[in-house]
Amino acid sequence: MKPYVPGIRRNLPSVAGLMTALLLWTYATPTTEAILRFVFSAEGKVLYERSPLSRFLMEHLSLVAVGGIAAVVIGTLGGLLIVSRVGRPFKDVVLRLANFGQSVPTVAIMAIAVPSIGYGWRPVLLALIVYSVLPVMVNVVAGIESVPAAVVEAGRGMGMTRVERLVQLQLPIAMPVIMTGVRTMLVILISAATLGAVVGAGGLGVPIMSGIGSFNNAVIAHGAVPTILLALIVDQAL
Amino acid sequence: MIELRGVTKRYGATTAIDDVSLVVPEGELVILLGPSGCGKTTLLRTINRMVDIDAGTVLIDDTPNTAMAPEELRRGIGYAIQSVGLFPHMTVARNIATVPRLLGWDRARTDQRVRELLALVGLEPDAYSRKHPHELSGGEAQRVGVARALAADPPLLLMDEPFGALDPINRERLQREFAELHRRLGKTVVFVTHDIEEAVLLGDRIVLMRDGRIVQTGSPEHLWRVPEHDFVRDFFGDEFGLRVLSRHRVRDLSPGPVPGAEAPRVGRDTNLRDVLAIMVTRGVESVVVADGGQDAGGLTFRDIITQVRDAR
Repeated sequence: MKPYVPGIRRNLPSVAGLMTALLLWTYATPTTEAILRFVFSAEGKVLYERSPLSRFLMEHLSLVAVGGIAAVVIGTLGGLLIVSRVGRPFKDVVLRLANFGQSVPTVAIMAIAVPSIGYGWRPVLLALIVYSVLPVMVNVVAGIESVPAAVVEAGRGMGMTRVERLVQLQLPIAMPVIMTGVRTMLVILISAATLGAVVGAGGLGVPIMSGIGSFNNAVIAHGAVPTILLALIVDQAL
Repeated sequence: MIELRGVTKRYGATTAIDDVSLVVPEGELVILLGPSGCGKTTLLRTINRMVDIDAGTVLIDDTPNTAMAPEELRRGIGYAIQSVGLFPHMTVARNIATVPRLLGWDRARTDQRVRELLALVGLEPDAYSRKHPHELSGGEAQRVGVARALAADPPLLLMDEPFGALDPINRERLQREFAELHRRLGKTVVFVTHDIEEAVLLGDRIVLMRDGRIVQTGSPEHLWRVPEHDFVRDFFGDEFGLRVLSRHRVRDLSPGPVPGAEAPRVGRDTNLRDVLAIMVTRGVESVVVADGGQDAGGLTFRDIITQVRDAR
């Protein structure tokens, strides 16, 4: 029998290290400036100075948190629905729809959304959710379908109700696969959220876009480094 | 006691179970046997309503099995399938505790019962409770499967090829232990298999099925003695008699006079198939039954065949 591996593989030492690096980068501004100046010695200005980096980090985290939670809820419910007896006929349609959502670039969704719901965080959130539902849903479906039929049959034969089978057998056994989807989704979300700066949602994309606009690599790095750290933290923590 | 009356199950145009009636008395181990696709598993599953029937009645202790919710019914009936049915994310103890937990037993009672059952199926409780299924050998996993089915002490056990995934040596060992367990616990058992050897070794009674119908029902000795159809003889094959012999021991027969001193000696616990093997190998037609160093009597080839044929 295959060994059972729980879904979460926390690497706490590396999470702690990355977290420290992120906090230092965000709050120990003189050190950050010294590092950037050392690496990008040719640039005159190395920091994005109109607002503190911590503000962008917080905005970024909020976007990712709200978008991520919404994607997990919608993706899980959608996934459960299409593996259920009622939803099975719609499986192909729903997966194709979610697939379509992911194949449209985030920027395009924002571009379409801005005229109807205006600038700010709303179109960004919409784009992020549309974009990240699929990896969650696909993995919920794959995870549940990977549970050996004999396990579910044994549960049924011993008198577990449909809900008991789902909660006590199918979801826990599917959890490693589901968590892989959540991890992928969050990493995608963290990078996609940088595009929020384009439509005025703030986030770590602001210094990046500003650096690109002024051809200043140091300012790009000022926003890009914490974005990368954030993605690595999520990858190691889940 | 289980009673099936005119049970019928159709899947579209095919009839999986065709008007089957059967009575399984209290404490009997009955084997549903037949080629694949004969409906034996489907028939087993009609008893705990894993399969809903189209016509007929299933009575358990004179109550129709439709009298309560299917989940409630199933919690009162032991159910074991091949070892893959163990829950991979739960420990052995938690697996065995499945039905007690569904029934809301308190922790102390459940823990106590789990330890009892592990010991009963020959697994050291302290060594095994906290293991996960992937840490078990096939034989150990199957023992856990049997323990899990027995957890809430149900009077009735349904077993669907429970030893099917095991290697021959482990399978035979578990079969013998299970036969012993059955004698000790006196549960009513309905046991599905396609393995003739297993059926003959374990069954108080064999229900031979084909195409959704019962072909013949009876003890292995009875089916051997009076097969009602060619199918019965063909299905059990030329080794049927030998297999039936392995169910009996020397002590079950009444010995005749002691043959000549040159005849080989056999103990009273030797099974008759082994006695026959000794006769063939040594080229003799009789053996001496030895009982504690004494020659208690003799058995001839004729004695063995006629006495087993006439058993029951």
